[in-house]
Amino acid sequence: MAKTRIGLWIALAIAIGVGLVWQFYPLPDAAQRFRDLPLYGKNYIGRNLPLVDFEKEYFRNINVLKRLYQVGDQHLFITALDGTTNRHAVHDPLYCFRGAGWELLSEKRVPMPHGDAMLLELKHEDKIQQALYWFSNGQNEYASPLRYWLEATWRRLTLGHSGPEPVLIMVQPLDKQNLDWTALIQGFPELLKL
Amino acid sequence: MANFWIEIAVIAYCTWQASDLPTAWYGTPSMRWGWLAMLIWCLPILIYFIRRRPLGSNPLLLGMAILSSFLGSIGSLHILQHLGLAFALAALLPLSWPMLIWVPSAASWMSAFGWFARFYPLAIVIVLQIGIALLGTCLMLIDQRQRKV
Repeated sequence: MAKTRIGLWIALAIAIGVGLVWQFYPLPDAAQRFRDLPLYGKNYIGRNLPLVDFEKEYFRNINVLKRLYQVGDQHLFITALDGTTNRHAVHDPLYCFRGAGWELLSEKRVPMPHGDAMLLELKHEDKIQQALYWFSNGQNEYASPLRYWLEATWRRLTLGHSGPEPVLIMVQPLDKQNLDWTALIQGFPELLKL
Repeated sequence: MANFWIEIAVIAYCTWQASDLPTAWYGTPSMRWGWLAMLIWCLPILIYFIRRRPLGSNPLLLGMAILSSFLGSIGSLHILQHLGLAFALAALLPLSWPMLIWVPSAASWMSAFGWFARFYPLAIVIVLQIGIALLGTCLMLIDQRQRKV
């Protein structure tokens, strides 16, 4: 029993020490992928938007992409979140929408070139709107927050050797209720490289 | 009494790792009563100590607590950190079969519960939370009464 307790003390000391040191390892982030997303192309043009005060506070430790784009005849609000330095700032978008008072009317998985995304139909007071989101590591797109958490956790456990950081991308139409996601992907294929 | 120090140290470490819990309870409508679920869940421990029973030594649960909290810390996954705290607290009691229900029922106070129950109305989530905590706790209390511990 004494040996067991000594072993537990050693395990605890290692857990505390390694845990403290681990967080200082500089994991490569997705900032370059955000910078590489063009502001204009053949079928689209966009501009950066500044963060508002509560966003600056909430996202202070993470890379955020917040832009307005016109893709074809769609005006879209596109955000991307890179949780490399604060994984907890990236939530399940549906959870966030509901927390913000939106009611989910429907959700549908839609196919993407290398996976899938989730198309939501939401209602808030009298406003009905669609939103599209997916998680991406620059190579695959997927809609599962569970997969995101597992992938992000495994990346941290392997000090980044498992692959690039998955990021959350959200697209919302500004002036229409419905989002033509096929036209978005055809007109703005660079978005999939995020 | 000197042998109690490792239990205190592990609980302190796991509590530190799970220190986001109050923020999660306060900031998430579906987890607003998570603190009550945790209080209910801890009743077997409180009653055990009120009865001044000899402390059970549970190196397996303590080891699982350290491992779970450590992996949750470096992997940045709250559910592992919360699970570590559950294991650390459970290690204060002697092993018993109802623990197989009671320890998992700790999920009722973890922030992940709110996500798993996200499609249910708020009232249902709260009922489920308290109900699950009560189920595990009642089984433990009945077992403690039967074994007179």
